[in-house]
Amino acid sequence: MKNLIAGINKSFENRIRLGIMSILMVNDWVDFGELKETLGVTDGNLASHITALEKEKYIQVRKAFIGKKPNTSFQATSEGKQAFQAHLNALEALIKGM
Amino acid sequence: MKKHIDDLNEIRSMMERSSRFISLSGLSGIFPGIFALIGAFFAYQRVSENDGSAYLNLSSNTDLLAYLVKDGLLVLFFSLIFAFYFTARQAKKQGVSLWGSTSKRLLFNMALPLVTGGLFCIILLMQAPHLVDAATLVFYGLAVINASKYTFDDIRYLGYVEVVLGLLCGFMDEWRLGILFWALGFGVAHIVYGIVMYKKYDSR
Repeated sequence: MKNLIAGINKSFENRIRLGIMSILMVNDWVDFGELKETLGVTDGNLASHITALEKEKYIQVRKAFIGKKPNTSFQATSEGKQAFQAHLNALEALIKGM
Repeated sequence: MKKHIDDLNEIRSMMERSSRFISLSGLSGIFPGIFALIGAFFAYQRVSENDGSAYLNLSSNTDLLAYLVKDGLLVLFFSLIFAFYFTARQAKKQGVSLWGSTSKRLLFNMALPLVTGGLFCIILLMQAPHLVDAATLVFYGLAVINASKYTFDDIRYLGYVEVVLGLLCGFMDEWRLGILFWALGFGVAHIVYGIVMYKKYDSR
């Protein structure tokens, strides 16, 4: 049991971070507004979790302008995808091991 | 442990919701189906006014051809309006934006075979108009199959049905069968599909 828990990544413990990573696993670049809408969270809440994931280098940020409006998009890094996949495997193993 | 199962479910639902447009309403299938049947009925009425041979030689019967094209465009027009209305209503109910990246992706991938088919049908109208009924079914079916990767996977079965009907329709040169296949493909298939989808997804 101890080994199984070792695979669980603390960075993904939070529901919102889990959501952000899930979305970025199956989409290329996703902008802030879309993430917010899909997850149904507030700006501040989303921003703080994004910062945390960014700090871990699990996601990367791209700032651009659409017309005059600033637009920030996010993409999962290969490091982030690997870490998330490992986390998923650990979750699955845990549930099967019950 | 319950938390981990919830986590996995959450992950699955987020992946699904962010990559597929799931606000298609079953009603968006049922109403176009009904319009298609009405349109097919009028086409049948008009074609059977003479012995039907005019239908097989549409290039020299421009009156009939114009009537059929107008009939088809009216069906298309009303179908699009109703399909759009019910989809918009469903999206609003689910709190999903109607014009997001998932719906754009769905529309683009549906439009690709559909616009190609539409242009090809214009060529057919000039060269071999009796094949237009078969071509509309085949291209529409391919468009639906292509679109199924970006919305409910189930709609691929509707696509298969349309393609098979379109090919069969192309083999038949009896005009009654052409209109029958068209009514089956755009009318009956849409209504059946709409009812199945409505029961499966709209009630959720």
